[in-house]
Amino acid sequence: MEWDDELIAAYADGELHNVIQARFDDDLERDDALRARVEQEKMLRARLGSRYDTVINDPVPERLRAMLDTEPRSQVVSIAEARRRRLLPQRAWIPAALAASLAVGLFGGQLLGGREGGISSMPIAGGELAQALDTQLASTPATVSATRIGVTFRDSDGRICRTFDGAEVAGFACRSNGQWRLEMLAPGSGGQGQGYQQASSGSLLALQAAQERMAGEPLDETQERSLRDAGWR
Amino acid sequence: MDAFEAELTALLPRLRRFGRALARDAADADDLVQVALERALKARAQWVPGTRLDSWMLKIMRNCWIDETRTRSRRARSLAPEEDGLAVRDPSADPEQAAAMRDVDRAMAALPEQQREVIALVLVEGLAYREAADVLEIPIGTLTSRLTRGRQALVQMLEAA
Repeated sequence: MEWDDELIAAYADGELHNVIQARFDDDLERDDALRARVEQEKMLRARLGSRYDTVINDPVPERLRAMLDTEPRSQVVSIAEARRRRLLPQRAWIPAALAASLAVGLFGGQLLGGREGGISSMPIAGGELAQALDTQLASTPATVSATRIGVTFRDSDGRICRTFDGAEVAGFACRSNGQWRLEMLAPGSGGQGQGYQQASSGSLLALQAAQERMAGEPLDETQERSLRDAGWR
Repeated sequence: MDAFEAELTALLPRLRRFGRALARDAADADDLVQVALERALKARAQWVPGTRLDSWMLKIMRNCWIDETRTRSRRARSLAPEEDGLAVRDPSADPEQAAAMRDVDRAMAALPEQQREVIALVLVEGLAYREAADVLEIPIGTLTSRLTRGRQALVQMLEAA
């Protein structure tokens, strides 16, 4: 049969349908002209290959590489680490003055009690804050409640802890004996009205402090939801 | 660098090759890769993990190139003569090989845009017909007929060279 250019090209590209492939092979054995045309197609592919494949081995310009290297100061060591970085604000995002104030407590953000101070001496969350800690997921929109939940995590003692950010106060609390004990408090977003979008500096401080206390990575939404549904036990 | 960025980094040599096949010279090709990367990073939420990043990226690059060629034809650049920028490369390379490369560059540059892009995707990048048709959002029949016409034109030009 007469093979047209499109079918010959398809043969050379390995795209000929199975059903006609066998017939093409038969004809190819008998037909010198057809073989020459297939050779021509293969030659073209080879010429293009020898031209453009040289680019593959050229060094990639730094300006292109740099666009994809957004964290040159550190290597991501694991998926868990990458996820943790995504969920938590980077240290670098916190303005230097704010970070300094964390160290000296100027902003009023302070860790309550200490390891030695005894857990029982820490204040317990109540009212609206306790309700938010009990019921809200991190994904709950800010407009729904005055208090927004940040991340949920476990500390090194295995307690469930959650960061929060409200008009009055931000911080984080850990679950102990069926109650939310406040571990760290900082000024909240200052009642910037309903539906505030910006995280307060206090909430960044809370996250920063929480990061120090965190064992492993923050819990994901599924874990957060199932813990909530189980009453934080 | 996250997984998305790492995968894109691994694709860079291929993207540069595709750019080289589409654009007239090496500088244009790398500019095209850069513009496409910017667009990809902005649109990364639209990429579905588990699907092929190379096809997604080639599509973005091709669309960036279309935008660029439209802008250029509006500007109607008359400054650069046809041969300008073609095949300026390593002078230490074998002159015969350099001449062969120039011939291919010239032939590709002379193709109509629609034929050049199918040649670049199928014959240079090695995409299957179905994949190339998806990248260009055209029916397979349209792809194969453009491919055939592009091939015939290239063979004629290269034989004449």
